Amino acid sequence: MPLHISRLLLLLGAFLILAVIARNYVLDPSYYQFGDYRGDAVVEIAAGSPQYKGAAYCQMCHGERHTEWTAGVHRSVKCEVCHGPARAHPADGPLPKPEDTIKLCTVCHEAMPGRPDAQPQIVIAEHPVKHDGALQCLTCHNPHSPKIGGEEEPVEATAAVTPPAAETAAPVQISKRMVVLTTPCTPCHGADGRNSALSAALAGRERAVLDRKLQEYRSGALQHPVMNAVTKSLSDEDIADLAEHYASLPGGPTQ
Amino acid sequence: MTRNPSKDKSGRRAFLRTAGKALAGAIGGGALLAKSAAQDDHIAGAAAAKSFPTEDYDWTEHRWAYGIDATRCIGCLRCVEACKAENGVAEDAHHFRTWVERYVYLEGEEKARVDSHSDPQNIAASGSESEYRFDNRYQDAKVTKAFFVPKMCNQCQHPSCVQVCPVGATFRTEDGVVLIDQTYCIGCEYCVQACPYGARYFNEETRTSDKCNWCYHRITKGLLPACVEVCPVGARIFGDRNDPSSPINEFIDNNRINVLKPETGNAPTCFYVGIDKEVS
Amino acid sequence: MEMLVSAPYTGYVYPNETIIPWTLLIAIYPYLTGLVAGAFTVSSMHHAFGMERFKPVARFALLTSLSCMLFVPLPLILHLGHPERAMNSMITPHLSSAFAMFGFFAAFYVVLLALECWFVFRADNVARAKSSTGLIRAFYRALTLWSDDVSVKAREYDRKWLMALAIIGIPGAHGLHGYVGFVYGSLKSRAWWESDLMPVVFIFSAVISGMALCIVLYVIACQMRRIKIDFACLKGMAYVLWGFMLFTLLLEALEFANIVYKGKEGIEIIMEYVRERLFVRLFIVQFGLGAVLPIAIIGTMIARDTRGRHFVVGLMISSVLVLISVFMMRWNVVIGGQEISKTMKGLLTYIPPLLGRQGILAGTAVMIAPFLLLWLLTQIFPPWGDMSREELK
Repeated sequence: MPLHISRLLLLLGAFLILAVIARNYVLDPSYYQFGDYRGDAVVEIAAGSPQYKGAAYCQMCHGERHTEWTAGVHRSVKCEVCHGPARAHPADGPLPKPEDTIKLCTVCHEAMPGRPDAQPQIVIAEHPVKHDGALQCLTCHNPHSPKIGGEEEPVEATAAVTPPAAETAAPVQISKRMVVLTTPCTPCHGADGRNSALSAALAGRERAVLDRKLQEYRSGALQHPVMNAVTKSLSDEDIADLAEHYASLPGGPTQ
Repeated sequence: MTRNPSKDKSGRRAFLRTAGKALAGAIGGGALLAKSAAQDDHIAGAAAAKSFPTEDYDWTEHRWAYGIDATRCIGCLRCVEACKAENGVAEDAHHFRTWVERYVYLEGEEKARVDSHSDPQNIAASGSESEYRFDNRYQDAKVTKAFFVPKMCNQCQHPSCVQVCPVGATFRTEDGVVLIDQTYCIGCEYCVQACPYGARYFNEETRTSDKCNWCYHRITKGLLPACVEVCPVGARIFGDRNDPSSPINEFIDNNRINVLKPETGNAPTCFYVGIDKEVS
Repeated sequence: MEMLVSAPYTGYVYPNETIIPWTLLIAIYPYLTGLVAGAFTVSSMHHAFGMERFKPVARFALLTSLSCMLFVPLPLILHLGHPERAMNSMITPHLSSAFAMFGFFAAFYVVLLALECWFVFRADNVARAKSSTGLIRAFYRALTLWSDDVSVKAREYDRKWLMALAIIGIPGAHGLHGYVGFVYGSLKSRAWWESDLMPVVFIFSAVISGMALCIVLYVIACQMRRIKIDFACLKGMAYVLWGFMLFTLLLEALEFANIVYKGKEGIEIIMEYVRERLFVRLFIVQFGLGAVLPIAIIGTMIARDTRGRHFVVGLMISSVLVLISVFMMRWNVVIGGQEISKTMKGLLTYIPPLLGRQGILAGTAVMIAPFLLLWLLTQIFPPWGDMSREELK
């Protein structure tokens, strides 16, 4: 065999052997441990630390809040959905309290085609009455237990209503027009005008006082985001009739 | 007979050359054997340990699966945000481990209108690329049918991505999750191309491929994936098929199940209820 | 740091698809390996099949093949997220992946080409070693492995090795390039790519691109060196180019026809894409200007037995058109496939950036570099000895 051929073969052979040696030198020892991959990778990936800690973690310090929350309809909405992942909390400070609830709550509750009917949905600019978009949800709703009127059936503007604490009160008969007019009032004041958990009780109060109050809310002399909104489109006759209506209801707040 | 001196010389040279090659071969072969012996030790070690990847977790005991009930999804996208927060996914509108698609059929149209988080109108509605929200463009339209479909890596039993990885950086674990070795991936993106579901993306930070891994770091500790944890309406179900009491078994047993793109032969382990023919 | 640009789209695409993974560089890569395979085929027509007709261009074609081959890994390295880990595919090749074969095919082919060049130029190098001094002499001596054996017996060994390498190199070249076609053709996730014909289409269009390149470079080299063009050689290349082009056009048309004829789910978006976005790129440039026109020109010239300057001009125009068309084909496959969304409900638009590792400037540099290297190689290993020494008429 000519010299150059044998030297060439030597060169190629040496290169091949060096390549194999180098390959085995750099090969990760955990490769092929479980398959065609680096076995250590599984350990590394599984060793990551969770950022979301879960409601049980929150309960350790926020017991009362947790109890309130589990009793309410929002029990399927975990704490970290609204407050963000716990991460190192409490070591790195408090978690954010959502400020812009219109932005946050409507992400689930805005009425949108595609959302199943079982999901409570609202038209933002019309809930609970037509407003200019600045009415924050927190004004009326407790985010940890948001259903108004407690956990029993929602209080509706029906013709006949039994006040929760009184078994003997006669059902109140009201006209169709009054049903319509009192619709925005009922969620906070109750159909019987006696609910004062969220707002003033109206039932049995002086007609003139109620009339004046409604006028002042309508004009803006008294400032309240909900009241200003609900009274904006009321006529003088409407105000008079509403005042008359609530003044005539059997009175006293329930609490 | 006279001996030719030059021939002798070349004969000696030839012998030396051959001997040299043989020696080099022996060294090389020895090195190879030593290395593979070390590997055998390692394998024996792991098998003897019988628990992986932690002391309290044995991946041979679990068979993870995921269920998606598209009849419940409200498209709130808390899952998308939770996933990004949990896994450090890029906070823009082009890299997702999980996302939600909205399908809307308008009156008189046969094909669904589909949109998701890269849609500029949805980005505008959420305010930025790092927040996610569906806009309400159909609120005044005549909608005949509409629904939301959460999507993510389907953790296929015959994954196309694993097949095409040239270096073995992506692989399927014994408990049914397809993982990515971020320190070994070369970033060729062949797997991104191969996935029929668009589940994979290029992670600009690690400069490797990335995708949903069912929060492997959570499920191996007995937690739920972040998306399942935060879903407020129970549209996402996760569990262990080896555990008879797991919600995933109830989900599979009590429903007519679909998978996405069955014609690929990938055999996904994400099971859907409530999707229709337009969903791909 | 490159700026992240998301692709604009119409219809619906998966959110992760809005960043297009395989870029301009990935369209350039099969183009380069195609030139390698084609130029090697030209060279092998003499070195393997013994066709004397192609002797003038054989050594030059071999150097062209080598220059392109040495730059083949560059577009891939520039694209990878971790180029420093590129050797992982050779350390632990995942054998189920077509890509895993790249490292071995490429390494094997570089060695094969280098070896073949070594044998082809060995006698010249020995002569150069003898006639030089100092550093240059040392260089050529090392290159010849310190052997100056150019006896009949040595040359016989050389000839046998050369033949063996040239013969092995043909399936090697087609494997090197064909696997790229297989990578695309075997992918079920993209309807535009999934095709049994894809590897064959890639191989044949590779051969015509390499041949066209050899024609262009040969003519240019002859002009630059004031050598008379060997007409028989040129015409021979034209014949082979023409024949391969007919078959390539047939294959590409067949592939497209299959998609349309089968009309499977998703055909609407494909047809929308072809009719609107792809019309100029596919029908006018790739098929029309790039295939039908050169076939017509060369066919006419063959039929009319055109000679001399007219033939050279006609062939040069055709070859340049072929080179453009084959690049367009790579672009239409690689980029086109990604512009049709996997949802089959939307289309994206890829706009290559100007700057950055994967930009137009980088791509242009990658395309030019092999030719700079070729120029350098022709200085160190002049292949001109086979060409005619007559002055240009």
